[in-house]
Amino acid sequence: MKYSLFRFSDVLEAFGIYLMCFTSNLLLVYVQISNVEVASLLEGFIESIVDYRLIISISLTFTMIVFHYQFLNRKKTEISCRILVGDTREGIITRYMLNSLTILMFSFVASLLLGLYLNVIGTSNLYLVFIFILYILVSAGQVTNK
Amino acid sequence: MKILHFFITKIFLKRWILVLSMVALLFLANSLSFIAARSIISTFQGYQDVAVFNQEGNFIANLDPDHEAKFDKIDVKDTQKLYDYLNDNYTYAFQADGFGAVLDNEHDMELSFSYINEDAYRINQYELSEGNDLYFDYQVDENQIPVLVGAGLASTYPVGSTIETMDPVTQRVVNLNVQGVLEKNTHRSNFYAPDSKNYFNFAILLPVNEQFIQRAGLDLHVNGLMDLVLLDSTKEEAADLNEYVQENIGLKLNFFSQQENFDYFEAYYANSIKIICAITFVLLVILVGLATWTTLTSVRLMIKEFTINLLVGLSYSKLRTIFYSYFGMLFSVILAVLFIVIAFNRYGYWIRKDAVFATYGLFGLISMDWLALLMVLLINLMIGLTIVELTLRKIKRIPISVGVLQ
Repeated sequence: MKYSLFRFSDVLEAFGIYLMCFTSNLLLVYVQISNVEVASLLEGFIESIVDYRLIISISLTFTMIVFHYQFLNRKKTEISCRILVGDTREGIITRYMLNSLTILMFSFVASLLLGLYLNVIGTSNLYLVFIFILYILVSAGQVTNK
Repeated sequence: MKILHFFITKIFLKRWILVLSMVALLFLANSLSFIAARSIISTFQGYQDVAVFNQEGNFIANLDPDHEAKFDKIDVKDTQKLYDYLNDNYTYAFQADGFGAVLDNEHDMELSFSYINEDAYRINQYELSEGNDLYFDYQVDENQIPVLVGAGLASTYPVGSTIETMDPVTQRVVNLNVQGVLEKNTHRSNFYAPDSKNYFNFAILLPVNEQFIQRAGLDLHVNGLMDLVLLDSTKEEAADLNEYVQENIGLKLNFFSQQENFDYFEAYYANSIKIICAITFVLLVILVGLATWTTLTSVRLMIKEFTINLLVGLSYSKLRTIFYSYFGMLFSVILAVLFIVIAFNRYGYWIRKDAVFATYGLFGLISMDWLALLMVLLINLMIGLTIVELTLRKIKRIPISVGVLQ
């Protein structure tokens, strides 16, 4: 993470958000596939939440958009300073993408472990990984000092 | 008003991504609160419906889930014998719903026939929007059968009209005479699942007397047994009947007394409601936490604008009013979207021609939807209060000079 825009607190924040999205998706999948016998009223309530798993999971990924947006807005001055002392925008973008992907990978691995514990296939989080990669690619275009 | 307009257009909406994320999170929180609130209200409504039968001296039948029921081995002669025994020895409320029939109607819904005996009819006290109550002393073979129709059939089959149709349980052509029209959204709650309801808007309610039961087929006999209520009876009499049913048709019924039903509801439904409340509370805390985080993030980005405005004379109390107004608008938009989703959901039953769940209501919403929306509104007030006060605390902690320097 040398020359990274990410500070330790930013890494923790991003890791926490990724993990929250993965975990909530895994828990919803877990509830959906587990055949625990519960009262019909409770079953109806849980079903009415689980039926919208995709919408809930995608809505929660919006918090990552907020993270990227506020992060890059806060780092504008730092980016300007780095360019001023000889760094290049391309270099900053590359490092930003690599760092973001590393955090994403670590949180995905953590979610896989949780999936193993819950006996849920970790690949049910793969679509979220694609969404997050998309967010990283789009936000990379916003790495600017303007 | 001018300052509010300025803040919304020049500060908040300038970073629309944050607003959009906030709307998504709050919409999830609202939907969750609504689902929980409606489940609980529906259960209480059902519980009240069932309560008219759940009186001292009444015993409500329930098929024993631990005993294997062999319906294919039941013979209509045996069930007829059972009903003769019932008529001779017991007073009982009998009602069976959901017998599909095809009859022309302006909404092209598949109608259902519902059968009810005199005692069940007397206890239910269904309200009529027009016409007269049912009577039960008719002759099945000689007279027209008096019926009540649901509100959705009132225009096609007005009071006094005659319907010639094939009765699904006697399998013979009958002449039905419309006596009255049931109030809109008249429904029946399931005894042991009070949150589930059958609406009678597209149902025809037929009175059942001894003669009718003799003409009816096995379907009505067996269905009627599932929800049979023994009236003014004793535990011993209920046990005798249970034994008789088991010996003659091989079904094991449990007849639960008022106290047993109270205990069952307490153990089964009260616990479920507690768990629903707990799940909702935990999820709401998480969602409100995320929404607060999003707001604090927004403040971090907008602190320059806030502090400049505070520097030129904007007071904290006015800023508080601006925040409350802003969140008021967000919640109004979200509630409007939620309202549209619910209305569309209700309208879906009409589109799918689902006669059992098609309901009437103001803008398509029925009373339990409005009550649940009211609860969501109250929850929104608490969420708004939490987020705004936390945000203002955050803003107050940032010195004006630091904000301006940014």
